[in-house]
Amino acid sequence: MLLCAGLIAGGLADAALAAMSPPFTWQADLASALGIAGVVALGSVRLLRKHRRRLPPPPPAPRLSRASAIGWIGIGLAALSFEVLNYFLSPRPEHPTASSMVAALTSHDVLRGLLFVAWLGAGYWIWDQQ
Amino acid sequence: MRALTFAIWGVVVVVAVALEALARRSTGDLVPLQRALVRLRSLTAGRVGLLIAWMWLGWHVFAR
Repeated sequence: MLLCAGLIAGGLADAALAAMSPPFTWQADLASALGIAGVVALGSVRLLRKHRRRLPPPPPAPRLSRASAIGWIGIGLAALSFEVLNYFLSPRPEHPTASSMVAALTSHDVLRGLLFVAWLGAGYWIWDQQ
Repeated sequence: MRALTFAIWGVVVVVAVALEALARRSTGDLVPLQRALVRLRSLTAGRVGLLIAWMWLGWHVFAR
């Protein structure tokens, strides 16, 4: 419980630092590096605990149907291809990439902080249920 | 050209939302994105790939 509260407080403090730090500053580098290091450390601790306790692996998630795989991979590839195409075209305002659209959002401090919290949550989710 | 680019991005988003809506209504083959990602996460290579993609995304959006 205490550890959980500490993780949440640490994540929020890091998000506050990110909210106050526009990209391309050393403070933004620090906030992002702390987030990555925190999530990797959390995952490593979980892996070590699992190894020490010799816990059985969780049941595998059900396989995807062909329709699901084609649908989701197809959309992912379409978005990635269009992103790469726009990246190599210029000028940027005429060919906005997903990154440039997200950059418009992250130029606002509060939105940047909220997106940072969501990003940390996604990192935590990657280690969940292992 | 700018309008066309936004329109194509819009089509990609609409298709993704439509697929998600179809998957949520479907009781058969099609699964929502969250379940597809859970399947990917359950594979070691998938989890490593997700972690690398997550790191790159955070660094790209918030730092550089």
